[in-house]
Amino acid sequence: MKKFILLSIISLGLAANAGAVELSGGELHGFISQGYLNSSHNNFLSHDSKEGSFEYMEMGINFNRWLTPNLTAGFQLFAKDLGKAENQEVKLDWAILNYRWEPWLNAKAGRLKLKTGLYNDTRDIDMVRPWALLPQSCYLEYFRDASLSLDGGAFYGNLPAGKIGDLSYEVYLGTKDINTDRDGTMTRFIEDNTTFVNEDINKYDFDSVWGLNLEWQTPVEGLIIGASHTKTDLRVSATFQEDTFGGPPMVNVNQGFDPATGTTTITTTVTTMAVNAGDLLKTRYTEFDEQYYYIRYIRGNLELSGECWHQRNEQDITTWSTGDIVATTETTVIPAAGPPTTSTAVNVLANSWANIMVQKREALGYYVAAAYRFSHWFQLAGYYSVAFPDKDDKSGIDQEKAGNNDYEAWLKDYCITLRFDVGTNWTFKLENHFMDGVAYLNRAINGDLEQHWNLFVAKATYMF
Amino acid sequence: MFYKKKTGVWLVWAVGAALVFLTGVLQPDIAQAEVAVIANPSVPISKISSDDLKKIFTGKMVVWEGGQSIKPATLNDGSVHEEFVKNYTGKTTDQFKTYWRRMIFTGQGIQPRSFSSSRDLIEYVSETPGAIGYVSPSDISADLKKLNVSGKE
Repeated sequence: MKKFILLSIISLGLAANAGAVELSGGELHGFISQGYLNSSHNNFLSHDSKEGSFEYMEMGINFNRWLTPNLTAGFQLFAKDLGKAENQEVKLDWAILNYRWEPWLNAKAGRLKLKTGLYNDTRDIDMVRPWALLPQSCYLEYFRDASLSLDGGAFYGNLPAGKIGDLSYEVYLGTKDINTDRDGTMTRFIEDNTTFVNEDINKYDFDSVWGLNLEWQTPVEGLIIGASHTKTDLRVSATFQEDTFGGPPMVNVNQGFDPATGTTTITTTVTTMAVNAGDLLKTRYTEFDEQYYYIRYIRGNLELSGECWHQRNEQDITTWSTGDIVATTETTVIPAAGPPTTSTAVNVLANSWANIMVQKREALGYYVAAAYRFSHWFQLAGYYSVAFPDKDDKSGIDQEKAGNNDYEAWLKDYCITLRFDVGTNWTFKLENHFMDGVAYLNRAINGDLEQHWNLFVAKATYMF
Repeated sequence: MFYKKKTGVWLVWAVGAALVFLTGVLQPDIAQAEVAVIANPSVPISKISSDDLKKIFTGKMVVWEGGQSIKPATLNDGSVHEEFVKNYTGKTTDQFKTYWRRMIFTGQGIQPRSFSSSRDLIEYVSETPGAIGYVSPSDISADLKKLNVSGKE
């Protein structure tokens, strides 16, 4: 029903072929984008992109009005489709009370779009960027749910800095609301690619999310330099859906040295875990932060930009298992003099909480992009984007050690886009991605993954 | 099968090189129209800085001194619009349009009222307290309030 209402209102705007629709002293705007994905060899974003998929669309409608000379109130309803995820479920995208006091100090509260990097707050708005698909190195579609917005408040403004330009800032604090069912893009991706089989996520608990975006409008006309930092405290709760062996054996190696005795102690613990349906899995992100660094230069019709994204996370994973958790610990003591001794202890746990893994991971991505507008109706654009899910394994050595292909360690994307703007309401894009690597591809919708592949994207957008 | 890695790499680099070249040789024809800034008689100033014009038309300044709402008005297109947007916001008209789309669809602002003719814009500015807009100097009648702009050659 909600989807029907949303589509009806957008259709009215389409029929009117107009700009904003004025309503009750405010403005109504909307958009609808329909895309097409066609990939060679590997499915990406959609489970059937190799056959060609139209399950790639977004639509939204918003209303915004002045309540007082300084205060606006507005909201946007939004729905999208991406392969088997989202399925056009209508959601509250943003709802904001925005108080503008002075250009250098303003405040807003509600569900806010997060201004991190150049494009995070507009990642669903196709017509405000040159390409259809944002560089996946910095704006991975699968992580959209976690990055897009927060429920809370923010202060923002623009500080004049004289001859050295202006400094814009935005500081925000709040929490997040992420869809835990399999319609959620991120939930589906995590469940399909988790270390543990049959994991069913049932809760994301954000203790807090805070961050800062700084943007320097330099004295060089058209040149901006910016940085964003976001810190998240997150706990994820899941249950195992079936009786199963919970993933591969986990190996922990610790080494200690006692300078007083000159003794070295090496402890190797191998943990295997059997779980039953309903057993719990809790992941506490003790560290979860991400940064964007970006630069953009606009001169006339030329736009050059580059961004770097870095994410660091440390996960502390515990489980409540009614099956057996078997921890076999081998301890080797190497004294200063004399032969080493080795002892083995086996610890079997059941019906108990157990810490099963502490995992640290740093992801890195960056891109450089260029766009040139030849006329009001035609723009040519392209970018080169590189993503490394593990920044310490750029060459894929660790992937090979784990029995995978080295090219699972990266995703390199050469993209070229033709953009056509027809009138003031329509945008069409034709785009090709020449891909090298398969990092971040969903294993659940792919068989054998090919290193070199191709993705064609077409997208049409109407907005009013 | 139709992926050719080297072709893709060279294609991207060729496009990049062409763009850099085109920046130098294909500068767009910018109309050299003259622009006059007009305001409703209720607006409590007779002179405005180019910095404030930029803040007003990019939604960063929303009230006049004294607390009255600023009601900016723009033209949809034409040489006067191009000249104003270029001179006072530092953007092309396409960039200006994109800027406001970003603001609208992320809930950061309500765009200025836009008009397809100078006559409609003048009528709006004349009748709306706090309104400010721009037209060609030749369109200004004696009873319109014109603001002097400082800080921009």
